[in-house]
Amino acid sequence: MKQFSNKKATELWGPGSMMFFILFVVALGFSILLSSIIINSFVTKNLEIPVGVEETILIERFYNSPDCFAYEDESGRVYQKIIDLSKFNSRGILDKCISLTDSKYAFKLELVDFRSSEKLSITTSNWANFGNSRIEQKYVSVHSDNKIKNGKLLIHIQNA
Amino acid sequence: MAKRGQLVIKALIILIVSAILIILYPSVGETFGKRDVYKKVVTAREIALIIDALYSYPYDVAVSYEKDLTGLIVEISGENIFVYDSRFSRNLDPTLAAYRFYPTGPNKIDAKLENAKNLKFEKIKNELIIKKE
Repeated sequence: MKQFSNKKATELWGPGSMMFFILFVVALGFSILLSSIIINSFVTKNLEIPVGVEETILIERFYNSPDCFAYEDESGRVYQKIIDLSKFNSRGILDKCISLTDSKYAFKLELVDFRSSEKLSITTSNWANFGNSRIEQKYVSVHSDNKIKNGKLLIHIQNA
Repeated sequence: MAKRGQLVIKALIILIVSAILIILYPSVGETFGKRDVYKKVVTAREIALIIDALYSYPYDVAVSYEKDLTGLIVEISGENIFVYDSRFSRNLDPTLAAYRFYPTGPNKIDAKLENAKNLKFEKIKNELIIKKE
């Protein structure tokens, strides 16, 4: 058994040797890192935001914010829960409305006209067509050609 | 037998490791002991939710966030909130809390608020301003 009688290797890794200290420092670094990751994960888990709260806050901007689809008149007044139909066909507006790079959410919006049952849909760029999603529905008004119609906004939410 | 150069390196490594342990461990212990770590995480998340809520509101609005953040720095950079100990820089705080928010349009917030007693969020013409009160 030649490999067990290799005295050179034993000296190289022995206590007090340079390699031993390097290993010690690396192991110590890992242990500090690991313990702080474990503790932080417990803390983060205990303080989780209740399910649905963040999504509810986020989806309100779709029909309330002028940066999204809320109708804004010439004077700059914004109307809550009134969707501007001319804005609704542009993904550019949706991407401007919510920045979703590296996000945990993806959205698909469907605007349904009550009278004609016509459906317009728009998705965020990170939407996966075959993924699971849940739906929130909001009753809104739709501004089109200086007229206000009743409609329904279906918001599909996906965990990206 | 170790050469003189090796001994110097070994001593240096031991010094550095000891310095890290002396600085880091008591402060981490203190942070957990005083429950500051919970305060950091909660603050980061609450601020992110407030910002998201303000972006969902169509009109001008001002909101006061009443929490004593003495000893902490709240930094808002890009799309993230960082809350960390004012004794450290952002990347050196072992219990750094971070959370993401979702701005609209070209709105960018860059703020660094140290030792705030209260924070004030103001949204004027869709532009968000965060300052100490």
